[in-house]
Amino acid sequence: MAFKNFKSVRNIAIFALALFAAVLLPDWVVDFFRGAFAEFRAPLEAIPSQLNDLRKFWSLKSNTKLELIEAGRDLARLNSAYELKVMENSSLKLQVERLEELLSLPSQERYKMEIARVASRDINAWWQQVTLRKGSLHGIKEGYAVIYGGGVLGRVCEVGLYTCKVELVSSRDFRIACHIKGDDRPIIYQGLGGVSLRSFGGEIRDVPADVEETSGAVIVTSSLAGSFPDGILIGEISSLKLDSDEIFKSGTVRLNPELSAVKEAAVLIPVGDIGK
Amino acid sequence: MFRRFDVCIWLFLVLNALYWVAVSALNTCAQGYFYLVVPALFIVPAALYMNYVSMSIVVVFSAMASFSNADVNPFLIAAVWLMAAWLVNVCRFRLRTGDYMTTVSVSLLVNMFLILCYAVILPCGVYTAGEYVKRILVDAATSGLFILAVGNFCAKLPVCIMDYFGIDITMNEEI
Repeated sequence: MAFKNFKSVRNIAIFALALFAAVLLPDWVVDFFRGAFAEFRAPLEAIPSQLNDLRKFWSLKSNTKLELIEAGRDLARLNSAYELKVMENSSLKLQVERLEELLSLPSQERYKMEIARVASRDINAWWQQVTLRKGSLHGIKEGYAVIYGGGVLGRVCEVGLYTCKVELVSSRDFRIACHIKGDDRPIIYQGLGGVSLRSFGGEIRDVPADVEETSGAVIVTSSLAGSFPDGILIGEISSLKLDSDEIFKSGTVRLNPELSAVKEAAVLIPVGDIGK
Repeated sequence: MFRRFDVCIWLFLVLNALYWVAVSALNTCAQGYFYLVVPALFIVPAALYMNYVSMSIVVVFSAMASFSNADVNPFLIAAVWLMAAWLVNVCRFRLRTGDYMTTVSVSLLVNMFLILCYAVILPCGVYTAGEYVKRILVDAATSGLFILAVGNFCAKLPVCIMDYFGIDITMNEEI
């Protein structure tokens, strides 16, 4: 009987301990445990993506010699075209540097791109995040901008040693200053969150009242946003309506549906932060 | 304290890690069409076959690891998982038949309870309450179907593995 009582008390004590830890532990202790467990699970998180890379490797390895020769020939053609572009690019770069030196202008090169593969996606009612397979060891820090082929992907919100979490542009927590392409007046963009079945969207506010709703009008990042360079595509305006104050308009933005299928992204590391 | 299931702690932790990797891979492939929320897979097998202390270690460790990257106190999630596990652990002797219906029903109930808790605890990431409810219902339904498919397998897997090594684990009352 006494043993049974001891067991009951012990079981309740374990549960109470967890509850106590949840409510009363200071933030730094919670952050310590969160960080420790996050580093512990980081290699596990990257396993599916690495297995996918391995699968691709083996499927490519099973190609016949003839297919490889054909692919090599196509690549050689592409390479020669790119070589010309590289030469053109380097001569233009030299020209820009010379002009900057002559006119004593600050350097245009503000960001270095760190290409990273997507390890996992968490797109649900609570979060809109992707995990990239690069972290603080590669110079990535919180708040850095992340872009992909279709424009803005999001912003780095959490960094581990080998991985980092990116808050997607469609997330409710993503808010940024931007402008309509061809109109430099700043407006505010915010994601709408995890709306149903892969339809990504956002909302814009503080749009000047004289801006008309035109098909194909797009919003791009503004240099006011800080971590983002100017002119990177966010999405297409789908509707605009006048606010009750009749000074500004607000509306919705349609984002690229490929946002959730991104396999690779580039983290923009400010040149000034490299080596810090 | 760990007289009977010491080795099982490692087994259940490894299995939970494997389930987590598999579910994460499926969610990545789903690309936002749906999202599998299946905490029952990590909780129910441990709650059915382990004593309370060993089960607590497995459940708390799994909860902390699963929610270490989320914008929520992982200890709170651990407490909620522990509560669900405790409920199953207390009445496991009544579930000792271990047939498909029993195991899957328990898993479904635990999963629904935890999704309901998440809906209240976790920060709403959708701009209207209607959309939030709709999204959670879609994810809960998909997760339910997933549990119907794999719930029984996940509950039986540790028994089969331990049976291979000649160790018998059953749904007994705590001695």
